[in-house]
Amino acid sequence: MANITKDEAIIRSSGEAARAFTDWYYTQLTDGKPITSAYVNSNAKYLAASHPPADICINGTVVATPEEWDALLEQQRLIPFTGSKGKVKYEVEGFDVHVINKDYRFAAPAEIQAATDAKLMQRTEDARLMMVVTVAGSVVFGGKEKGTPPKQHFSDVFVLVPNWDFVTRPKFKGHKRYLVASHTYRAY
Amino acid sequence: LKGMHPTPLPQFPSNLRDGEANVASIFVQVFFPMFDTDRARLAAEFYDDDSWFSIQAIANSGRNLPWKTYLKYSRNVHKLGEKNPATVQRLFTGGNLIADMWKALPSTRHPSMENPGAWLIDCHTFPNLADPTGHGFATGLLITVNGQFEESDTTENLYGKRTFTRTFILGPSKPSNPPPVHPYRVISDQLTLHDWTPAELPA
Repeated sequence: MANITKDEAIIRSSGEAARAFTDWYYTQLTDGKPITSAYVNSNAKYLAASHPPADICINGTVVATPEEWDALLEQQRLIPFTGSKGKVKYEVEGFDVHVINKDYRFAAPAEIQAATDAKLMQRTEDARLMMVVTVAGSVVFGGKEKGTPPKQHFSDVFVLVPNWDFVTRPKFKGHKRYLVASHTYRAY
Repeated sequence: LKGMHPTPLPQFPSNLRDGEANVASIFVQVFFPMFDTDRARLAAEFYDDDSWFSIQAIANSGRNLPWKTYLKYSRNVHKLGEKNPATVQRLFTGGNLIADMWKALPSTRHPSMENPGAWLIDCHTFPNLADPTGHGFATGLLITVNGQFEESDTTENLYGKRTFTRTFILGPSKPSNPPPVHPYRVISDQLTLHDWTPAELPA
């Protein structure tokens, strides 16, 4: 199965990035906290470079902004019978990640776009990745209320792109190292 | 007890935003029947040396389906851990390796595309892939397919229905790719297999 064309360092980096992102993202969802900062929309460097807003499609409907997705999640937590807020718990059961552009440079700092400094390019190798992440898990609607809580399974797909604010901090492994440029959600 | 719990978001049918050429619609109509009948040809036509493929098994609840064949290939990074060498070994790169690996998977029968109620397909174009000619950026197409297929595993003599998610990234072909040349190629193909059966796939 071994294949010499594989770039093991990049594969490892993509796994770390997907882990940091999913750990943070689904904890935020379960805690009822906003996830808007994870998307390219609010990033100054992507805004300045006129990157289109993140493409967000929720259960087959296009959602214009991360704030609208946040509002949908808020609506989802509502218990119709009482009008109060319940808990919606997201649990990740698996994710897989592929690098789809090893040398992403859109909206990158000038010295990276110019690519004249070989050392800099080598040093930022694991920070210039465009990735696709497929996440699978379950969603439990409530718990403390009466009866068995409804349960769905979800399938999320994200395209992640570099957050250039961290490109010169190779040791930074936080969830914001990469930003969401595309998000497709399905739960059923 | 309806109304006593938080309420799942409404469900809408497939959302196909693949541009005027309808590349995604045409691609999935060709892909799934060919995956069922001629995987070698499929790999040769749409995959090249830089294509990536992997499967992840989400096996945690029911044991109503065999998992043995899939588990040895399962690249569930969440379960394996990103430092596990299996995350490299279980990533298949290049059309030839992918075709070889597909030979080992159970045979499948996907529902007809004539039955849109059996499929949830969402897709859209996105910017900033690398241009295969080496200059500038290229547009990509992200396709997410949720559905079910019938599976037969002759090594275990077992048959069943499997729920799956399949994520494709398509991008423009390389000029150097040998014929038959399609204008686009599969850059990434992620197959996720579940061991649960949805109450109903929304039409």
